[in-house]
Amino acid sequence: MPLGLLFPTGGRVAPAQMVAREGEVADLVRRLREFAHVVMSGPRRAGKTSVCAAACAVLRDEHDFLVIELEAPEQSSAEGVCQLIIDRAARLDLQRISRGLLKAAVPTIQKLLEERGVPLDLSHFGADVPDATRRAALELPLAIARQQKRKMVLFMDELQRAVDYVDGVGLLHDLVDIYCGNQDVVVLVDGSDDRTIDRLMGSPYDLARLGQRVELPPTIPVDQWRTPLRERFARATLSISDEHLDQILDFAEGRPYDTMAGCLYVGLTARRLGSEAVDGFVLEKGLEEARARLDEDG
Amino acid sequence: MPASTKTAERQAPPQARSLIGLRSEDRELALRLAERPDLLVVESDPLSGASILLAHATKDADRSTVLVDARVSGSALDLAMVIATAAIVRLAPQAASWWDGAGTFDVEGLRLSRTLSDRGIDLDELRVGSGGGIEQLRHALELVAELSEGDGLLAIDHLDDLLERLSVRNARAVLGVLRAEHQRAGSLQQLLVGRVDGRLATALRDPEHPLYRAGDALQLRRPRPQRFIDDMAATRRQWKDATLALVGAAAELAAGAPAYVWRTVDAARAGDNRDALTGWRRLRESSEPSTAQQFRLLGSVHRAGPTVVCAIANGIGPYELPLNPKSVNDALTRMRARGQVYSPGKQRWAISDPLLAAWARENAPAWVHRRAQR
Repeated sequence: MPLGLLFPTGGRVAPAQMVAREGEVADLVRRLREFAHVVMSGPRRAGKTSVCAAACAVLRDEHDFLVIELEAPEQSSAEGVCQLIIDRAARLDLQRISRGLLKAAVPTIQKLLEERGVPLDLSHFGADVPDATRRAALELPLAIARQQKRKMVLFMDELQRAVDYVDGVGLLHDLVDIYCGNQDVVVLVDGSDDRTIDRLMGSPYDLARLGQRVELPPTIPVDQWRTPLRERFARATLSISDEHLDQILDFAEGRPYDTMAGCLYVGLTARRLGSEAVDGFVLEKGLEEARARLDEDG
Repeated sequence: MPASTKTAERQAPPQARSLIGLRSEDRELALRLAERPDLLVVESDPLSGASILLAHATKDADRSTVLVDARVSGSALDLAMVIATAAIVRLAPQAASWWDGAGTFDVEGLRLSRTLSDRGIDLDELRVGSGGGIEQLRHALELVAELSEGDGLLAIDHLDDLLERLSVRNARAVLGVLRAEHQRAGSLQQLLVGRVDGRLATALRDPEHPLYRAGDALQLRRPRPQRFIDDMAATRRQWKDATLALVGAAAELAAGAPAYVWRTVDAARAGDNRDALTGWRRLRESSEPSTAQQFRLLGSVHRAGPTVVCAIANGIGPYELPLNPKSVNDALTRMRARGQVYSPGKQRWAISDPLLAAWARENAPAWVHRRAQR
């Protein structure tokens, strides 16, 4: 099996690939099922998006929730967020229509937007999305959930970027106003910069009015890494001794990204040498490369 | 203006000899791609052969691969259209005439359009290049992911050339979309090629940037001339001494830039006198007008650009020039961002294009020559 799938160091980690985050996922699912809106925070590369996405997948697959996921884009206004909500809501709507009996139906989203005078494409507004349009876009998930008579989770990744939007305060206020206290759509927000999340929770953004902040632990206890990592090395057809595995764990000190980077570079070194076992030389060179990479990242 | 598949990138497979001098880099890139990284950023020196490696690595890939060159794009919308067009050419060629606007009622095209429309991707907007650039870029990435059925690889070559043309904010937005799509479940794998210390590589290491630690990095430096000889010696083929000598000399003259090495060799073999210097002279003569124009345009990059290039070409450290160090720094920064100069090592500068370096060496002002002789 490819090392990139066993030791992911990049994007979102699939639930089956996650290590020792079952507790956090279960806790998040429980909160969201209770319609407690959540603001998940923690350092970058700790696994927040993966945990949130895993919780969304459980809600969708086991509890029949609809899921809208989006990542707040790096832009100067809320136009991008609103456009993403429209796109994702439209996609849910189209999935419902294409499922069978409703082939001739006019998409709900189209009707809803027409009623509110909102175009499907917001790009011509540029950075100046009217307040009413922004609010109408934010209301779409709620309208879709009510129309389909299903519960929904609205997962907004990297929402801390809203502090850079010219209309960020308005966006957050609308979000709080629309979703606070409703029983159809639960909001899950994920943000990585602690100081910015602090700002979002306080005045003038007041995100604390919507949901509770949940911190994702930045490290995973070393003893919980051993078994899954040994299994992964085995799936990569590489054998590794307990002693060498402990050296990788000592190197990474429980930080998920560092642990995966250590394993990945040790594995790559073994592959380069055509070795089927991680020996002392492979370990040393691999960890050297991982350390150089992490040092470069500051 | 609709995008056209006729102008889409059609990469010719590289000749086997193109990989001489790059054999270990080729192996490393193949190894990294075989291990399926979510995102791999290749940082390369200008004219280091990264494009040849990329073409070779993606040619025999065991999955759907879309390779585009970002140099032809001036904006996020351009890049979106280039990616979408290349995806159609590579993964849905039956819909190419519809995509070109030649067959409005083309069944395959309409079928594809409908399938993707059900998933919220408006192909018409992508095809004609309307709508917001960032939104269309997202749609283009989704298009590749859909057409490759979850096991696709999108390779974007020369991404820094596009990023440098954009404002800092817009460049950040483009990288933000690439990262967001890469984060999305079931999205395609990305191979992004930029310059050493370019905007792309810097973003990967900047904790404030959306791309921070979003993937793995691989650095490709320009090969030293001796590498060409070493690589030839390492092959099973028995090379004649004359050939080894010719390639070695060509590599020295071309400062290790693979494309120029082989053009020099070809130019040498085209004449009676089969030596590298003759080939190099022929190459220089045939490209002299464009090289001179390239030199003249340095002045529009920065007022001190031509002087700094002449100094580097003549072995003078740019900060030894009787110019304001801030001006020299600005000139180097701008020319580096455009790939005209690069840093082969700490506190060392070199001109990327060996033909430009040779031209600047010969046509430098007299005072630069005098200073170089001190």
